[in-house]
Amino acid sequence: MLEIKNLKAEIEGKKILNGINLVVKPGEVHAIMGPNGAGKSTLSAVLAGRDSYEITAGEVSFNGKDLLEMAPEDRAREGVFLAFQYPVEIPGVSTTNFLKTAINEKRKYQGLEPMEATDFLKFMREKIELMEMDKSLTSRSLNEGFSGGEKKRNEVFQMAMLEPTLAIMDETDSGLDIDALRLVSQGVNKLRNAERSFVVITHYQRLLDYIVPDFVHVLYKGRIVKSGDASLAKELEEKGYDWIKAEVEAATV
Amino acid sequence: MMKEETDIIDQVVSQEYKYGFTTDIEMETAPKGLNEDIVRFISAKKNEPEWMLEYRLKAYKYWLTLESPKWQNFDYPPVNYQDIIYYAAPKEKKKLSSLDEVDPELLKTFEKLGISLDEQKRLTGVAVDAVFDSVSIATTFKEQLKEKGIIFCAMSEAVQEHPELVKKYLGSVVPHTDNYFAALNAAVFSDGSFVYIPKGVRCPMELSTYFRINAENTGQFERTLIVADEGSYVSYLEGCTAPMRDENQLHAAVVELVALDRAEIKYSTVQNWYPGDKEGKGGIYNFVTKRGICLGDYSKISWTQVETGSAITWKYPSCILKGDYSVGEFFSVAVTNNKQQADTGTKMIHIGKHSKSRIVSKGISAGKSHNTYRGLVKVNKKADSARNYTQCDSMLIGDRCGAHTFPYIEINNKSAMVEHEASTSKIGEDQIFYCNQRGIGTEEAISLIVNGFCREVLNQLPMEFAVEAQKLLAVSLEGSVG
Amino acid sequence: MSLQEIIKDDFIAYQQQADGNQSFTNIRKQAFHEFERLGFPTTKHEEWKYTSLKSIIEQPFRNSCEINADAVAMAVHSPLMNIDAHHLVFVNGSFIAEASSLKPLAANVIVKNLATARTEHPEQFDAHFGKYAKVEGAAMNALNTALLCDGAFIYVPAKTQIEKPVIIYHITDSTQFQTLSQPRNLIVLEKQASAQVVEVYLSLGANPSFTNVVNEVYADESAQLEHYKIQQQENDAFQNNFTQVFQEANTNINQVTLTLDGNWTRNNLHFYMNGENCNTLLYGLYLTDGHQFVDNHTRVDHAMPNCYSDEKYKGILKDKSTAVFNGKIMVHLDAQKTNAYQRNQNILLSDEATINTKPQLEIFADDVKCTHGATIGQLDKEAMFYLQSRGITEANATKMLLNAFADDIAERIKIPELVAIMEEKIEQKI
Repeated sequence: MLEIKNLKAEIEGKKILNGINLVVKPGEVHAIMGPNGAGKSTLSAVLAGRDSYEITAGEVSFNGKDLLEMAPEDRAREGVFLAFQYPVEIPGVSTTNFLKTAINEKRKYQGLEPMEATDFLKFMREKIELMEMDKSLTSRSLNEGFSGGEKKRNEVFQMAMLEPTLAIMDETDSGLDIDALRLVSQGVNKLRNAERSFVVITHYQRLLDYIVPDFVHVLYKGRIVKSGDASLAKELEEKGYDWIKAEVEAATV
Repeated sequence: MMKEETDIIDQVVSQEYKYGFTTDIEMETAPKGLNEDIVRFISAKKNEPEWMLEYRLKAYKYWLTLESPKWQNFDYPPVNYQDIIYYAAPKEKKKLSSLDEVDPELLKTFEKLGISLDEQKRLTGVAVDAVFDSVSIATTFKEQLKEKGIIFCAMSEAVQEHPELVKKYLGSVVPHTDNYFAALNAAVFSDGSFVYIPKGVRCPMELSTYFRINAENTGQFERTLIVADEGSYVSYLEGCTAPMRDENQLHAAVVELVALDRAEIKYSTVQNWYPGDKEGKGGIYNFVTKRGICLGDYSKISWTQVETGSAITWKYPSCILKGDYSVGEFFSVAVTNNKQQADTGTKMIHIGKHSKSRIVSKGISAGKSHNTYRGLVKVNKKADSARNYTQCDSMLIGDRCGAHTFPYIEINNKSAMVEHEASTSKIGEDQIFYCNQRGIGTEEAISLIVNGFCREVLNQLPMEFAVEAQKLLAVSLEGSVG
Repeated sequence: MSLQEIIKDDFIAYQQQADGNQSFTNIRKQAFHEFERLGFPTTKHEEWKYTSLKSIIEQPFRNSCEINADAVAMAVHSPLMNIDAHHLVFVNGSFIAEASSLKPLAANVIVKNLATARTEHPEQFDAHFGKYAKVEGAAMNALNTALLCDGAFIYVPAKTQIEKPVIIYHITDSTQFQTLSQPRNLIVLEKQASAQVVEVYLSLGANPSFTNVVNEVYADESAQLEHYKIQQQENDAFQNNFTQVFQEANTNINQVTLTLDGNWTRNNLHFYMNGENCNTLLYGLYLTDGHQFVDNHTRVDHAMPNCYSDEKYKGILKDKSTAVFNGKIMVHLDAQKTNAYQRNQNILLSDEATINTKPQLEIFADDVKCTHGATIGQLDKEAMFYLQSRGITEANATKMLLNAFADDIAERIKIPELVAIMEEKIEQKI
């Protein structure tokens, strides 16, 4: 469903992505790991369509469509969801109102009528129960005054509501304590199914104890330098990134 | 700025004012210009008693001694007061006894504006007084209100039917000597609404006045007076529109509110006068004086306004908190776009002990517009334990507009607690991107964020108005991010 | 004869004895004409709405640079005199060399009285004098420029630091008659220069005095300045104090104004940020009692992007005193990414004290973060009760809480002796 070919991107003339190649099939969970500054967050931002990056080469197809050609909102409507590393606060806008707007915009894009208010509330109630969310969060202003854990859980809750086919999780584990991490992971695991794919971006292996990936890729200097299964993550946890760096440096010499 | 965003701004800027049509109806007008004869003409047209004419003439003579004020934070070409028609009314054959006799053209006009004067079609929760140019056309639900002793009628009718109340309260809050436009209004006011809520009565429905300027070259000078007797409550709404015309039209209204012991008045305005085109041509000069007095102990006056129209808005709905434990509130959203200018805010004058006031102002500027908050909080010597909290936030959309905040705080009592907080920000690119990523387009995202920004104020509006106000905000600002 | 007429005569007299510096003479002539055109400001001017000069200008002040020998002898008795610093003493705007003392200075640093600097360093003087404190539309600046006596000139060349503080004492002596004194200071920091400057205002004599000061500060790129102003004029002292700071890119200015005494004080403190990445901190404390009147007008012009300003003014008001705060943050059209903060907090200790505050924002750029606020209140009753319940007397509890209130300001002052004066004054006033 997602095919990235030789993707190159830079910001203010600085090259960040230097030719990414990645294929994600329906239902697969891909973890992308790598040291700080490897380009992990850039990859998620480029896939979601943040305009501060300049794409200099490569292509990304999503269900056969050219993703890079699409506006960010159209990518979302096509089923791409980004769980933000730093979810944004929007004062005065409740999570409920926000999600209702988002769902109806997507329906409009699909040529469907807006959801009836009662249907929407029923749907939301189901998802609240499924995600074991605190109900009061949905009536508060979006992310405003939320704790770090609440913000990340709210991201996963939104994912449940918007039912994407591709969920990209950008360092969702950063800043979470172990209990919050468990709750967030449980939520994600409930959303795993045969059609939905995940790209999980993380610096640490601990998230992958809970969300077990099918594939693990190591990103370094804007390239995927090593791929493997879940055991690769364990290896990285034990040995750190230095051996990979050394391998890469050796290969380029 | 992204190209797409620029396009959206252009789109919004070129958005048509949808209330800009004119009504073709036979009018009776006074000759252009202002002199003593015109004042007499207006008074005679309304068949007013001698005391009313004297009041007008006194105001007119005082007005002649004044110069138009110059302290405001905006420029406008001088108004030629001799080039304005001070009285215009749809020609009527005889006195109307029921709604059926109202000219169908007029009924159609109000239908078109979404204001049905047909009681059957109205939501039962709102009674309407419709004012067309200089006169009140119709007032609905009069009979039902009368049963409770509530008076809701045109001002011209009140002068005839309830002279004792009008004499007692007209000009008691905004005297004709108050300012240039108050003097002018007192001299030439044409019509407006009069409301009296008797002791202990809670008005069972929202009262509403809808103002429409139609005729060319006219000014609108309505006068509203609301008196809430002891222990009563009323919620009053005001809406307004005008046709698109190339010349500037003057709207200089006066609104007076009087709340006696334990009475509460809630006054909401959704102002959508024609703002002029995007080059700044035409549009209404909205120079109004609105003031309420909390005369009695434990009384409360609450102003809520959503200002989206007019070329220039210049108004400060104020509260004189005379009664002990009285409360004044001011909630405002002012939106300016293109070349609009708004200088608005409030005055809270604390005289009574333990009086409290709260000010929440949200200013949004886009295009080349200027949006100014100007407010005064004054605590008099004897106003022990007075409290004020002011919050004043501005949002800028695009880099060619301006936001200005001028709060004046004058405190003469040590037990006062006064707080003023203000902030200015823009819509964050992060916020827009976050919405985009959830499938919400940029236009819709801005509307969402702006509505969130104004939430506290919009929440104050009665349901029906809140929806209209949200739509108005969306129309004026969708997508105009910088 | 009105003060304005007196001033005219003074100016005519001055012209007859003007020295040879033609450009200086021209500046003064222009300034005088501007003053004549404007006259003294009245409460009809928005900027003077709460501040009336009427009672001052009706008094028979005499513009004077005269020095009284006795006054000179007892010129300064300030605890600041004991600090290891450069001390410059002026009486009625005239330099008193005997009372002044300078420590050795780095090469090319100038710390002198303005009149000497004008002849000895005309290049530096002409490049900066009158360039920042505009006289157009500013009557009091025009008046000072037309008839100023003398004052301090501090010039720090590029990449140079004046290690010790420079303390400028301005003493208005009204022992003989009602004196109008007009001192003037000019501080110039070249690129990457740094200095610490203290202005001290004192008074002598029982007659009413009127001090009309103008300060000009120029900070070239990456310069740093610690600037303190301490106003301690006693008796019937009136003071109008104008300061214009002109900042180039990357400059850091930390300014604190302490208004501790004086019958009537009007301060105008203006900053103009003419380059990016400027940092400006302006803090102030005013203590008023009796019939004292203090007005702080500040204006920060964010004319360029990426600058930061943080303003905090605090007031403690007693008796029948009145304070005015008027702060304006002006963010110009292209000054994106401006961060500006402004706070004015007041404690009223009496029912008869009055505070008028007007914190203003004027913003013409859209990507800015600006907040301002004002509060007026009393000492926290809960805190008072808590302290008293621990056996602390009411007076001590009040003192503790007021010192805590003033603490934010004290933290900004790097000369402990100044903080000590401030705290002593708080104690004395309550």
